[in-house]
Amino acid sequence: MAMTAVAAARAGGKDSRPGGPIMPDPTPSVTPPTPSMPPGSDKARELNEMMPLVINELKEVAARYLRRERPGHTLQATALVDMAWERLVQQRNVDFSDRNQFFAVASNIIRRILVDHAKHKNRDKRGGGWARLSLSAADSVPGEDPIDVLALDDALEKLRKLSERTARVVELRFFGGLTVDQAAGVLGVSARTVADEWVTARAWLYRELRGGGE
Amino acid sequence: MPGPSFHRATEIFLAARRYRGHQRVIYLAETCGSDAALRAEVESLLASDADSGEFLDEPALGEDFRLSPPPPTDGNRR
Repeated sequence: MAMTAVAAARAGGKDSRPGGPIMPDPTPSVTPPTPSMPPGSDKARELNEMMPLVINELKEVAARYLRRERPGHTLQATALVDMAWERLVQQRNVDFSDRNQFFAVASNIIRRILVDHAKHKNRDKRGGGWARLSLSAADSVPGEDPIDVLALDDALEKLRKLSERTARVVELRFFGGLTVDQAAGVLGVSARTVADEWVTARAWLYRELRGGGE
Repeated sequence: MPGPSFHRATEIFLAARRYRGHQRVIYLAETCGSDAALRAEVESLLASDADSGEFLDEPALGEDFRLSPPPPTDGNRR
């Protein structure tokens, strides 16, 4: 299932790296965890270091599933992310006693996983077993327009520069799957504020993705 | 060239979307005044809002996915 170094090199692209199977991009493809923890703190650094490990962990778990499942079986990765996260937390003894921090960071990590996955998929359309792994409910439904995760990611970065809180709401709700009330708890604002930010974000991002921005 | 303030435009957008028809027109005239760029921005957001359907309504990993924080590690789990 793993791409060989040759295939990775042949697939090219500006993100390909020399040598070995696909390595997770060690530099964050999106913003680091949101500032609910002090930037530069040990915890922030540790969590940033965890990102490549999460991707690796995800691939290992996926490989085990794919070996057991019928060929062609599409696997929703929802359980994989939870499992990968749990294993990672256990191994690293990270204490997520601050639930808000956990949700904020986890949502960001899910976003980064999906973005990296989309980039890898773009690099190798025939991508062996990995391409059979569906990481998004949207891209496994035939006939439906899948969300272009890369375009959304770019748009979200643009939005973040206009309003950090609006972008955080999107990260928590769309990538983290949090409800309005949960997101309100994480951000320390009212549910009404979250609902307003969500309405704003949807309209702004929808316009941006359709190319109608500015 | 600076465009309309994001916060000002979205503030008006959020209020304007609760109005319909004539009331919305009046509201936009009152809040945007002669600022054509601001009004265009707000109307653009309103149009996008109206067209957005189910955009982003389902979370990226599907409706069944919910993050759950792991319990505090005590070394003895599993």
